[in-house]
Amino acid sequence: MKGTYLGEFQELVLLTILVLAENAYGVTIQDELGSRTGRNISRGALHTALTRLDEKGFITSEYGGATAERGGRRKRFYKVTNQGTKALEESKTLRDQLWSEVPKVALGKS
Amino acid sequence: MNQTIQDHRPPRLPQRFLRWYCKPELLEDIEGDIHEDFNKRHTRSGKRQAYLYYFLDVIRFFRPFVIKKLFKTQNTNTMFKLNTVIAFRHLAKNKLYSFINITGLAIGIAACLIIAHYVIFQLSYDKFHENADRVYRVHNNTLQNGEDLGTGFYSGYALGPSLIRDVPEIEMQSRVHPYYGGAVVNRVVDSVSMTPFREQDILFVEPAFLQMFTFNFLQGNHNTALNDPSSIVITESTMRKYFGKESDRVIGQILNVNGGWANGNYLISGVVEDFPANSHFQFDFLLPIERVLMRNQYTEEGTDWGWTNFYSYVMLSPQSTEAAAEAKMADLMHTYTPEDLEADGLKQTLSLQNVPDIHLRSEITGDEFGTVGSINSVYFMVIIAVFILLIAWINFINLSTAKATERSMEVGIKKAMGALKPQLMSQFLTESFWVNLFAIVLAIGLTYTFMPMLSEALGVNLVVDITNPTILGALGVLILIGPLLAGFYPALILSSFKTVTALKGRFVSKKSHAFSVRKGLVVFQFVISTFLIAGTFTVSRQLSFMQNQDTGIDMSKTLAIKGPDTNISLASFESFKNNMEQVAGVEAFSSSRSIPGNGYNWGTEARRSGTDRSNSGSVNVTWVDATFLNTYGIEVIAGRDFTEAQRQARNGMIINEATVEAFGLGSPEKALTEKIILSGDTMAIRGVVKDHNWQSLHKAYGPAIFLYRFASADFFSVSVSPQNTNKVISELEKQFDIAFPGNPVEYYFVDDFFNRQYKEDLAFANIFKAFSAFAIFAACMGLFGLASYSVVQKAKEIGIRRVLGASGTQITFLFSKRYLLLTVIANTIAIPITYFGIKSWLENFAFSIGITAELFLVPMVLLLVIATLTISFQTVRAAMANPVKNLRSE
Repeated sequence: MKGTYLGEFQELVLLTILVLAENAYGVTIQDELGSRTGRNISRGALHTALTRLDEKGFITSEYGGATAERGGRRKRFYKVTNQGTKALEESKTLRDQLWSEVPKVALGKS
Repeated sequence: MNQTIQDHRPPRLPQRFLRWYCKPELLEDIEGDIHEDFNKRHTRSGKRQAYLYYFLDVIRFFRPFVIKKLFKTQNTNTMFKLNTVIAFRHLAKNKLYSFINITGLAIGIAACLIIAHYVIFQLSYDKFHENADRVYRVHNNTLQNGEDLGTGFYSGYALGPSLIRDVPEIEMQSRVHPYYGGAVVNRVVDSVSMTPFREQDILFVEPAFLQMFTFNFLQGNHNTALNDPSSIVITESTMRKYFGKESDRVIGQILNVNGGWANGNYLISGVVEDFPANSHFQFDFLLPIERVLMRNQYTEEGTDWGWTNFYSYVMLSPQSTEAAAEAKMADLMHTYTPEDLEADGLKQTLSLQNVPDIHLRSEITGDEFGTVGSINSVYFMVIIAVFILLIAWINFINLSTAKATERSMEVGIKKAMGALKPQLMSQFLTESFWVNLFAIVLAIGLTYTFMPMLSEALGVNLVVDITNPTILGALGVLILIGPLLAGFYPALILSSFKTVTALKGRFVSKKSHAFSVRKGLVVFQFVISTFLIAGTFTVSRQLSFMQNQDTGIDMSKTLAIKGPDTNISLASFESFKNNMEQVAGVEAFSSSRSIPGNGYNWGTEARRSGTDRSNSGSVNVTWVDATFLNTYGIEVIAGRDFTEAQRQARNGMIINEATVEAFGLGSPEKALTEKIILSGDTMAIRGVVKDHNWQSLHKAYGPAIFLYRFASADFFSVSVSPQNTNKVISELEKQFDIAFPGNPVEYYFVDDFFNRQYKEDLAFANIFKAFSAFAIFAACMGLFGLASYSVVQKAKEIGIRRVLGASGTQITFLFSKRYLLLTVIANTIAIPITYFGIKSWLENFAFSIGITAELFLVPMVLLLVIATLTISFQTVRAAMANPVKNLRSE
């Protein structure tokens, strides 16, 4: 089980990388996640998640060109691997399945 | 993307730290991210914020997955591991030794931690105000004909405004007028009064008061809360008390305050969070000062400097200094009231005291409000803490060196294998490090366990806060310094054994300096112990003396009832009085404006009739009725008691012996023929009473005068015959409610009330006892450990002596002798130190037990007994053991 399990936060991170497409690196992921969830994402937590995702093989990364705004350091761009996309899909299917089986009554109103 | 973001240089230190701990493969990425964010923030919010966030980011990245393996390749790490293993084996092998060592240290450290909390609390007084550094209280020092009469803070109401006018450095000021005597407060809903409560902590203040001090407003705000003369500000807990569940919106609700100073309805305009305990003043209600200034007492001509019921706080403007402000205000009293001061031969100087200094370094010679700390008691606690820590470390040193014998073989072999001295030392230091570390962990646990007890003893709510930077710092220092300080000497001794002698196991020579040092340390421990035992003994003797001393006033069977706060008619007073006098068991009834232990009513000045004003001195006045002296059993030694009369003039005054002395009236009998001018009124002396302790025994007898007052509503006193106490109390509650409806009844035995004055002293005694016990226990553990090792070491000798016919008693004595000798030496050294310590403490009391030989003898004997018992545990056991066993084992 361990190794393929996708935590809620990791799932969000994966999706954000997909949303950001070509421009997904540390700072942009953090900003995007922060503005979408309204949560204050700590950089440490994000990097922890990225490291874990990397270990599981859900993402790969490559370095871009050096930029002045980073004091001459390169950006590390992240990409979601096929395995990552598959994990996301699995997770979505599971949820959809569960949602479809929730009886109408339990949803309350009307 | 913002194109105008420039590149800035991030702070060096955090950057270096990051580079140090970060895994190389992650570094570029993380550093880049932080840097980019740093640049953005720099442009957006400025350098300071950017630096701060850079720093925080670096700290927040200090996570396991980021941190590289530090010291990965260094050899010291391996050695440390090896030494740790050896240390643990040793600790596990000698369980008793480890236990004594670790607990001893832990107790010492715990005591220090607890004291540190107390000291931090004491030092934190009034520092929570944002403007604490420039808020001052105005003090007034008085000299009479060159003699210092002391420093006080009370002044007339004209002082505050004139300070603002005449001293440009002062930015704002607030006069404060306490609600003397307290009041009854109740909530009013639709003109109906709810349950009344008696309240003491009510202050009249100016709106500036809310600006100078820092209040946390939960409802309302500090800019406007006291602007309206009918407004009232209350604390959170007061709000809960009066409004219970309806607390969410109390602004505009009505409270009725009734206590004589400014009666009426007030609209709640603000609720503040309860004031922290570390403030020199406390309050439950704040009222606008205009209300009290409207009283006739303060609006009549000539009362502006005369009624000294006010005190003032000022806030200086940020750029001005205390000295500059003081220079301009020093002679202000002479500018405004030159004639009065000159006629009395007085010189008054105004000065300022910074508010955070008030608690520990009050310049006031008279009474402060609230609990007063003293910087001396803080120093004292620090000294005790250091002593205890020293004792604990000395234990450690002694035990470790005593154990040297057992480890000589180990050292010898290591040396023979080629170990160098530094390597051996590092081994013993590692051991010391682990013992200290365990002790600290245990100490933190002990601190959590014992803190509630200390809080109770002190009457302050102290909470353990390990995260306090000072505490953390202290712990850090202890972890670093402790092992070195305590471990260095034993490590030095152990590692310096000569290889061959060590292997032979006969390194302990009588001349070895190790032993004289060890003895010296034991003596030092016992000097401290003697000092602490003697201190504890003195403190508890003095306290029981104070509580049981004949005060010249009969308090044990007198019941005092706090009078009603609402205005009462003379008729209801008289009916209450008559009804109470009828109750079986009531021997006497009296009404007065104050009672023993409650202070005097009026401090003023007096002089003998026929002398000029420069001969006047201060006296304290209390108003009582004709049955008061009888009720309290205060003995009249000349003249007569007051007689019942409607007017005061016929009765004159009754003075105490100290007054006779102070104004040169000759003997008590002769005084009856004299007259005294009391604050301008000439009065006859009707009687002289014996000196008695109206206040705590800290204070000497001073000139005190009783004046007659037919009826007072402040205190009623009832002298009760013991067997009827319960009946009288139930009758009292009934009658009080009938006569003064709407007033909560409050009564107490006067001796209990009087002894409340010793609350601080009791707290001090409790702390002293607790820490002495700590210290003595630690010292005994050390001695126990020493004795046990010396016995183990000499098991053979004991065996041979037994075989040759020595009795158990002889052997016990032989082995106890040298430790007892040490305690005797320690006692001798301790005597002078103890003498000065006791002497200076007893000087706090006008009435003290005095220094007697007993104060030294009892602690010395006690210590000898404790020491003997501790040692005999070991020596007796050794002496009784079967000698064959000891002789056979090799």
